[in-house]
Amino acid sequence: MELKVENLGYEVRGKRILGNISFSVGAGEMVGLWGSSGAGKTTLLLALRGILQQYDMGRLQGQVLFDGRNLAAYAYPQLGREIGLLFQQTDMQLFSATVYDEVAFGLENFCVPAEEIACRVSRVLEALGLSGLADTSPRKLSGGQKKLVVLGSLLVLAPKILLLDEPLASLDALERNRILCLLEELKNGGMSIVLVEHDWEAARFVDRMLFLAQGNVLAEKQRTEIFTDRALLERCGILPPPMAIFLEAMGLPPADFFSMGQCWNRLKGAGYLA
Amino acid sequence: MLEMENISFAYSGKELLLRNISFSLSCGEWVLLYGRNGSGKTTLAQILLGLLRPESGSYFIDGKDASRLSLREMGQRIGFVRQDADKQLVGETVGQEMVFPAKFRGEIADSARNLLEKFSLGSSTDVSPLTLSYGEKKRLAIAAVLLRQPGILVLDEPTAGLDGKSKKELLDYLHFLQTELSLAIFLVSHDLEAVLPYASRVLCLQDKCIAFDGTPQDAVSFLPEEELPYFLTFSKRLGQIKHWDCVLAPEELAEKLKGELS
Repeated sequence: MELKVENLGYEVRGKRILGNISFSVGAGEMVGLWGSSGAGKTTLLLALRGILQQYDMGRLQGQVLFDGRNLAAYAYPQLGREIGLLFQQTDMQLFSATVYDEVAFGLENFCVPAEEIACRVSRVLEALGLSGLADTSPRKLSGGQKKLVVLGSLLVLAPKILLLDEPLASLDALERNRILCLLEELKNGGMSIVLVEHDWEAARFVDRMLFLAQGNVLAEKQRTEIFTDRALLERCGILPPPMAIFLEAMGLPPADFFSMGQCWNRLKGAGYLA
Repeated sequence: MLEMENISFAYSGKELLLRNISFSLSCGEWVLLYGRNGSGKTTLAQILLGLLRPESGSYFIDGKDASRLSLREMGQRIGFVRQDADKQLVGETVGQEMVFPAKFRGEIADSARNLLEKFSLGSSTDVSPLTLSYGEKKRLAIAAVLLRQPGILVLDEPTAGLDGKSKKELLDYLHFLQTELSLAIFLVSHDLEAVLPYASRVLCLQDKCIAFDGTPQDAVSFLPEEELPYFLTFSKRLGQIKHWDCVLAPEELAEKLKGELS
């Protein structure tokens, strides 16, 4: 199962939002989209979900292929089941009376038997640490908890592709880690994931990163390559991770910033640590 | 300026969410409220704004009993920027957003323009807030609140959804307001890496109570490593080896290490 973007461009009210974007995401792959606010990341996610034109009636060029067929050729319900999208502002995705109903809603619409719904919803709620909130109204939850509920409502459908618009924003460190580990598990199980994030800690989990600026992909990099290209980050308007800033200020060569051992070794090698 | 003593709160029919919360906020102080998801941070911010009434305890603003102040009087003293900026943007254009409510129309044209420039929205005066990116909407919401010149600014997760550069610009500007205009800032956030270097004090909500009230450096010592972002964990461990307080900013940590060797 592959998601393929071919020469995708988008213009709305005379303003160019996406330039000419091409890339693909394979089965079991997690691709990160990095860029400053307003770079076009959210617009690109809406296009990958096939709802961009419904969203603000712009002019779309190029195409997005899902399993070799243009998204436009699919029936809307089928896309809803195969491609899940977590919005940045999750409030607009919550409408049920309880957390349980919210997560069960999609399955009910696909006429899944009640027993199976109960089983799948319970499993997802447990994986997301939401079991104790099953009877709570989503509106009474914190911002981070709402995000987890929406993620649950997507995961329960077992989509082939998961599009996530800043899933970690407003989550505490433990929840962030829980989500990242869960995403890795899903990826290893064959799910394709496109992740829009600003949080560098998420970079640890992605296979490839696309760097966007002003609606264009400036570069595609492996995770280990990203921290050495300061000029690219500068062009994208992105600040490097704090560990990169620290090592640079120390005048030390870049390291894999998610390996504490490598960073200690840099300091030891330069005589700062015994 | 603001003082809460033994504040307890429960949503109707539910068990206590906050118990015996006491703290103060002075002019020119920046307090960061940190806690796990669902620990009651936003609820505490809403009590502070007068949107929720506590079950018990006392709350004073500028020496006045907050329970006797109207919402309008509270609103004149405290500006609030919500976690979801969409919920507080009502103008048809960015310019109109800045002149809402109508009584400000005309009087504040210059300050509105200056604020929009400061938040890099100067060229967007005529566009609809709905077409702005998430980060731009957040900056607009903050600019519109600042226009009313409140003495206290309460922000709920202001850095969520912003890229590193936008976060830094926003926090630098809040720092300017705090130091130059003595604005008191009460900021609710999980983003310890970005916000801790700016805070003068940290409150940690845990098990319905304030479990910690102290400096950002001591907050890093107090919090378990699994709740800290990567760089702060690194800095905390380095501090333990070197027997110094945790350094919060990467450039400062580099200076300190280099200074030690020379």
